[in-house]
Amino acid sequence: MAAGLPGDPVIGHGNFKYRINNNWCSGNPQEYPVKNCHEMVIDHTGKIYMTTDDTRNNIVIFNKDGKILGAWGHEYPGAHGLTLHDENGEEFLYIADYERHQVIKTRLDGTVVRSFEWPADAGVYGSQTEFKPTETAIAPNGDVVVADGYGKNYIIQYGQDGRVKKVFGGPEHLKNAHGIALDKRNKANPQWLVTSRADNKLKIFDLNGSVTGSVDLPGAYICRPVVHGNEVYFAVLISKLPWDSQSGFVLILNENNRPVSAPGGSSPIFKADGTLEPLYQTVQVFKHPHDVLVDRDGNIYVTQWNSGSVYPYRLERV
Amino acid sequence: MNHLLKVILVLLPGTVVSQSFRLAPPRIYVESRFFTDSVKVGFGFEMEGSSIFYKLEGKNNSNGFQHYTGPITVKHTSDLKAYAIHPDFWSSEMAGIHLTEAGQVLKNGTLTPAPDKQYPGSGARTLFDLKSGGDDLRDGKWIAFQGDTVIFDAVLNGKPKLRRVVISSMANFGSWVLPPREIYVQTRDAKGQWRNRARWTATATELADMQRLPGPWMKSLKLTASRTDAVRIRIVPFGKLPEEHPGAGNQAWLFLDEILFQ
Repeated sequence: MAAGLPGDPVIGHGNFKYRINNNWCSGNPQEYPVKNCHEMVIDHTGKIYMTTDDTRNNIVIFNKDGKILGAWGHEYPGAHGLTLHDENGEEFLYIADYERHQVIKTRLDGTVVRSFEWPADAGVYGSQTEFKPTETAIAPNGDVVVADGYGKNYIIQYGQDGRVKKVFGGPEHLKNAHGIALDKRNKANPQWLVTSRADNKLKIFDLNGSVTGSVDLPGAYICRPVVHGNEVYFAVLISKLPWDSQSGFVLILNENNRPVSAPGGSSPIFKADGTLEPLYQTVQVFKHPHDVLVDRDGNIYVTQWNSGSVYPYRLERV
Repeated sequence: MNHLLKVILVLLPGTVVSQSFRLAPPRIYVESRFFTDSVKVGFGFEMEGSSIFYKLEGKNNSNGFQHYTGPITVKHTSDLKAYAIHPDFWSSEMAGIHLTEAGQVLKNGTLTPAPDKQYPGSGARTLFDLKSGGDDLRDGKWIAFQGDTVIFDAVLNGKPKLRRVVISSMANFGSWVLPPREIYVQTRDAKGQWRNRARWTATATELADMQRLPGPWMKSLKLTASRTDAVRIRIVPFGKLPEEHPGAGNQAWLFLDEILFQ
């Protein structure tokens, strides 16, 4: 591990400040090449899994010190969303592949368990190619819930047998529904958090699929919500158009879904009427952050899209 | 930060202080890049320990960089530049904006053909509403065309002596958006005849810059001075996207937000 040097610059605000370690990963790009690094998850042993759309190794596995432990997968050209779920003591991965128009469930070693196909009978899709899933979350009852973030912005709920049970969201409510997470912070009332990235909003749905709330995050093109402890973390891909503006940062909301820190971004400032001033990049740490993973110590691992094929960075909490 | 260090930073934007990360350029807040009497400009950089320095270059403005403490009022066509500093990071690249004073406000104007349905703006009025378009090309302040030569017929207030016409467009090669390739300006004389007053054709260097440098694009055409009540401007689009573009062979989009008469 190439640790951040003492005195390295600190970014973030309030109780969420971080030292930047952009040399966290010691991997050899010749051995483990990456293109766009999309999402990361961590298993119960502390191994970190990451999706990249480089079909020479679609899943790259790291330890927490940034050493690459291995890789697998050559058949996922649109490997994007990555979700880990413990099912009766075994952890599984769900890979949302927008090029294959599928979500693929695998074991941690890459063995395919099953796939979840385009919702042909849902009445809202005319062809398979309209379905471009970007993210998966697992419902309390084990259903597989998929965000069609690059397609038609519907949320599709499948049974574990692959049968479509429900469709909600859609273009009426969501614009670039890039990520979804089950929010269990209120144990009595779990909800879906869905990013509506292109209009800088976090949308909240109940488990029946009805909209119950919306959080305005002007300037923040949020990728997927990551609930960790009482907070929700996001990679903010950009803070201004165009989409390749290299203006991203990380954003953290507190238990009330109110921004409290934006590492690499401007201080969250609220106007007199309670609305948030537009957020923007202040330090060019990241180009296009695409996902965050938070470990038990509160460190944040950040993957990046379209950023020169860099391995993830680590923000070390101070 | 001590005074000496601050002075060095002011003199040398881009100076490394101690760490390897650079600040982003400060945000510029302005209602429009076009104005008649004056325009107020502010900068944003919400980061503890940071400062902004700015410089105004234009008519009656030739001072050096000054510490920014609050919104400033600009009364003449000017280039405004600013950068941010912080003791723990490299100072930012320069943020900049060109603010253009509009001379004549039009009485009316018509456009042929109509803008594309995806980017209708407010039709011909978009070109003389003094509202500048932003980074979001769908903000309603832009109109766009794909492949068509655009003709704008302007009716002026009275019969002013026109010296210059300024066309404001956008370049974003990755998004298929490129400025015009040629512009022709005619004015109507006392007999109702159209007279050629200015013509511009992009040079090879200008064509290359359009593809290389994204952002607002402006072209100022000096006219042979004459009094007139009407101006006809013919704007020829870039044309087909070049070979190296992923959309090669398709027509580039032409975006326009304003035409100014000075």
